[in-house]
Amino acid sequence: MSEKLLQVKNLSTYFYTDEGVVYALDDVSFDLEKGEALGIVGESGSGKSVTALSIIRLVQSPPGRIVSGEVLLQGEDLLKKSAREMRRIRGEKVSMIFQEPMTALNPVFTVGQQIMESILIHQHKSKKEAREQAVEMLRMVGIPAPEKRVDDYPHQMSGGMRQRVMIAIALCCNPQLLICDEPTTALDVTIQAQILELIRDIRERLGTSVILITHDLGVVAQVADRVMIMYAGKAMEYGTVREIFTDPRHPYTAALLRSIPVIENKTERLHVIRGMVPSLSKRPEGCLFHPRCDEACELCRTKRPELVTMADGRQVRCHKYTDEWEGQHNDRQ
Amino acid sequence: MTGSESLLSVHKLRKWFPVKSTALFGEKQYVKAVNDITLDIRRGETLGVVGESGCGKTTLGRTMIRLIEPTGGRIVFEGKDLTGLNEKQMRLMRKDLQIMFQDPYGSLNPRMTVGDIITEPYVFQKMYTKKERVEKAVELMKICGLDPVYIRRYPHEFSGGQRQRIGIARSLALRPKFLVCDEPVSALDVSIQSQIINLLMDLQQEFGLTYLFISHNLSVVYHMVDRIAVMYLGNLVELADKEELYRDTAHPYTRALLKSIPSLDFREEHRLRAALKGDIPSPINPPKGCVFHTRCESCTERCRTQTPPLREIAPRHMVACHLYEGQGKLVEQQ
Repeated sequence: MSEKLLQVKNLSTYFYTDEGVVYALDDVSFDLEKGEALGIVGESGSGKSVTALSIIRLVQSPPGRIVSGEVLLQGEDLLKKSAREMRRIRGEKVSMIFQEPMTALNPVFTVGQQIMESILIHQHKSKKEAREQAVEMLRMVGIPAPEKRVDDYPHQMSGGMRQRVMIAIALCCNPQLLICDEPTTALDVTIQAQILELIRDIRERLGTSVILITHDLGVVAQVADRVMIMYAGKAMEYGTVREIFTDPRHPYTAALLRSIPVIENKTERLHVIRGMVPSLSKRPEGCLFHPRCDEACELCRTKRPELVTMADGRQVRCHKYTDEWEGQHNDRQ
Repeated sequence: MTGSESLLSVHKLRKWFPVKSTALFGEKQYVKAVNDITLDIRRGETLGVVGESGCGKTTLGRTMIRLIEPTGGRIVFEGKDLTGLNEKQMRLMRKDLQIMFQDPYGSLNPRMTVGDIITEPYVFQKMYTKKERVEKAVELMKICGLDPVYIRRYPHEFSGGQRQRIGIARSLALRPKFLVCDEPVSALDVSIQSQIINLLMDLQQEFGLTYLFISHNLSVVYHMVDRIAVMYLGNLVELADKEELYRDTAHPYTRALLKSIPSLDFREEHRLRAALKGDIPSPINPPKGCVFHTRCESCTERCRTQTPPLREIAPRHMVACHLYEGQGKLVEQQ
């Protein structure tokens, strides 16, 4: 399990717009072991989708540009690949599924044709073999009567089934990495449970590594091994699911966990994170979270915190865990 | 805070939408979005309506206040039958019956200022002078946590959470007694969602509001409401106080719904498992008998043919399922 499949180092993606530079993704690093599932959590505009798009180099350019960093897939830097090489890597080594199963499929082709398209591009197979494999893929993702459904058009399928088809397309070349961008956000809860079970099952059976992007902490707790909490384009906290959910260290992570209604809890009022997410083109000075943080002090207002690796390996971007903070608070007493 | 007096009740409320039938001499087909639903809402309480997409929860909310004309059944509000009212009489009733919508982007007119949006209900009801309306708008903005200096701004200048506050201010303008909240926090980020939930709960205390709270998010509903109604394919399948519904879940569908919430507990024994197989059937040709039988694990022969009636299996705990035959008493459907 210790083999690194993906290493993302200091990745930054900015969007150059008329209103100024949008720092959508700013100096983010993480890695992924073979067979591991990483959850990337954040609110809208936190940069979680841009992270995924930057990895597979699908950031729309202009206005977007990957300005720095490395994306090492098995040691090879994807940012240095030519467009042609990238096209081969997408689908063969890295696949992605998107939030909207309604719009991600082409309405004028049958789902079978759309699965076959990917097989025929990447593998040396005849049409007949490709069709057989398409049926097999549909069976694997749990679509009943796949021999018949292979000739269905997307509109003949429900949202959950379409998401299964998307997963089938993503998996047909047996990629090592599957990136799921909000795969269940548009689905009902009972269908969401089915899809999450399928993703977990695929990981176990095929050993595919998974990056799961979501705003739902519950989904992450159920699927991921490790979690990266993002806020305004930066990683705020990075650790295992157990660590993050039992002992959140960043004030944002802690506040986020307390602001979700949970059925078992009998709290009368929910915890509120005041204010709103800052504009990514006019970011606040100091810590990006300080205007909303209950623990912010002078240091947080002036100096941007670095990502600190703590003794137990947890990474937190907060001044609370630095020597400077100690100094400030001793002065006050 | 909840009285026992009924504020609004519906009896066998029905909304069937006709569908263009493809067969020339075919039987006329309907989407039975709301199929003979009977329930009552007490003054000051919050009734939650949950269910998956297409279960008819939004149609129920809108039909209840006659934004959609019911196909059948009665709606009684404070002892008055709303179904018999003509358009003019109904417009007067609208002061008491308001709705707030899910989409904070689509539900506000982009060409109107915040002040005009909030005070538009006064224009329809021919209430107050222009000056008074502005005063009212300022007051409402303060109540809903908006800075009144923004009264002349347009909706696009606000974030999703702030727009939802504008929507709330507008729906409160006429000081309604009953407010239908249709997925009010579904489009919002988690940190903003909790702000709006708390605001809605504060407003209820302050103005003695009665809410019908529609959402697909069971955790949010559980937090907000007193009682929960569970819908499936246009039918009411279970209705109970929230603690009771959670503790003594009766209907197999409710149980599956509760099991499908991804828990924050990451331990293996709390692992989410798919509780239901298959998809929701089409509402155009819903299954015969019990509408849920195609996905139910306790399905018997009887469920395929007979529609289960609603019965009260414990005080104020209603369920429509053959498993509870002989228990409790049938809910009278007048």
